[in-house]
Amino acid sequence: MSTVLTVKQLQKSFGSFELHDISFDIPKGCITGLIGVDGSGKSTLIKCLISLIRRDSGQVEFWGMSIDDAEQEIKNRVGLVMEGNNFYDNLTLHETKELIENAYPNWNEMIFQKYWGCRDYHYSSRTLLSSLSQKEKLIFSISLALAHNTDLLILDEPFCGFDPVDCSEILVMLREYIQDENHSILISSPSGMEISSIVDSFIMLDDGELVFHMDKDHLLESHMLIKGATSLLGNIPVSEFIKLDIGNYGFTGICNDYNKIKPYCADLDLTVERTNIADIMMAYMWRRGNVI
Amino acid sequence: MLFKLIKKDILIIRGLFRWGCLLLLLVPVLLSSAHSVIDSSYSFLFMSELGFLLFGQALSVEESKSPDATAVLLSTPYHRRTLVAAKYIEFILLFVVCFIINHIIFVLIAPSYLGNFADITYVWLLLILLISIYLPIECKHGVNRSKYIFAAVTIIISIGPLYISYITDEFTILPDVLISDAISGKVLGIIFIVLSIIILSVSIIVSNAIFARTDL
Repeated sequence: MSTVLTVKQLQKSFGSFELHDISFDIPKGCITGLIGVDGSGKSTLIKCLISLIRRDSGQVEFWGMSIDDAEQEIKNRVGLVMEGNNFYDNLTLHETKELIENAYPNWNEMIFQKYWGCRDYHYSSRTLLSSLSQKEKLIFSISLALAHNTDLLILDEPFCGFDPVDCSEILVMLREYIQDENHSILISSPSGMEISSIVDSFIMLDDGELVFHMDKDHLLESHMLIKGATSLLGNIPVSEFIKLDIGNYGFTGICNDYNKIKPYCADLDLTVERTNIADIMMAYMWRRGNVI
Repeated sequence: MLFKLIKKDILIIRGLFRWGCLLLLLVPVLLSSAHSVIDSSYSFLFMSELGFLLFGQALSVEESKSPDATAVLLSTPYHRRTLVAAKYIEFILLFVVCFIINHIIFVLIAPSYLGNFADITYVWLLLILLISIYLPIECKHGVNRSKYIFAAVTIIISIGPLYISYITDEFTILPDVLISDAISGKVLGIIFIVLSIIILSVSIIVSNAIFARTDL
């Protein structure tokens, strides 16, 4: 599978905050979730990728081209939707579209109409961006970001403050876009829960460091929630737990390689449950000492 | 691309645009009707500074409401240097419009008070100096921190009427130190134009260098 984005040893310092030695690849045709709590460095990383923030060191390559050498060519193929969709509220939808459209030599009106056109009849040419709801603003931003034959769509926390119904409507749009095997998506989220249904792999950042980059299925199969009596802890390899809570009535732990715990589970009275991406993320943060 | 960025800035302050233009129009009308010693060059300076203050401040306010808008624009193939160029062109266009309107009004109402070539080019030099200082600071510190420049210009403008009340019959906008029999007004004007071009060029280079390194 060919690679859309390659990041090698990316570093960026901002006072006391630092993006430290970030390296990962994003394959073509996949949806990659970038997760981490606020302040973990997701937005900074995304901005570093497309040179909105200058990195201190490291390499960023899209389709094998360095962002330093082919910035315009890359930007012609990448669409970015930023958190909050804060564009000029005083501009009308038509003016906003015209401004963005003008930047792209490969603008495709049919694609824009495909994603936004069905809603367009609600609005006149004088409708201001400020009069749209948060969901409509996001759909409008995604439509703009996709309308130049975009090969890679980057979304920075698009679902901040959205209810599940609104999220699902946007996810349908993203699923439709990813049907084309040449398209890829990088989407960030503070918990990963709202994007978990569509992503193929997760990258977790914590305090500016890459904690893991794993295929979603493998992640959810290898990380299991295990519960049992505290007295049983002596019989299982505790070092396999990335998080372990010991209470009066027993223990609850999340392991990062269930295969290593599995042999013990058959003989002991342990409860094994699948966990979710938010719990896994919190478990890693707990191990790193960044959450109580 | 450049035209669209300039149009965008006009559109985001359109609420103020008409009233601002009307207010600016009052400056040469009032000053030329006064038939005082004030000539068109001073009126041009006053009008342009007021325009800089009104439209620059309005743009700052609107841009501070959408802090990520510049980042969104630069995630598209718009160049950073195009954004910088648009800002310079906007202010220069404003001054050109002020100059033309001011000149027409003085020709119609007080033709005997038209400023000479040296006076007018001196005003241009002052205005170019103003944006040449302001725009690199805006590129470096953003619109919010640059508001102190607006505050300084406001103070200068508010001193204007006080200054006028003290001027004499020999009032000229050119400082006495620059008036010399050895140099004709035409030569002085050409020196001011050359200086303006040099200052503007240096300022554009500095702004581009700063904005290329600015994290958004």
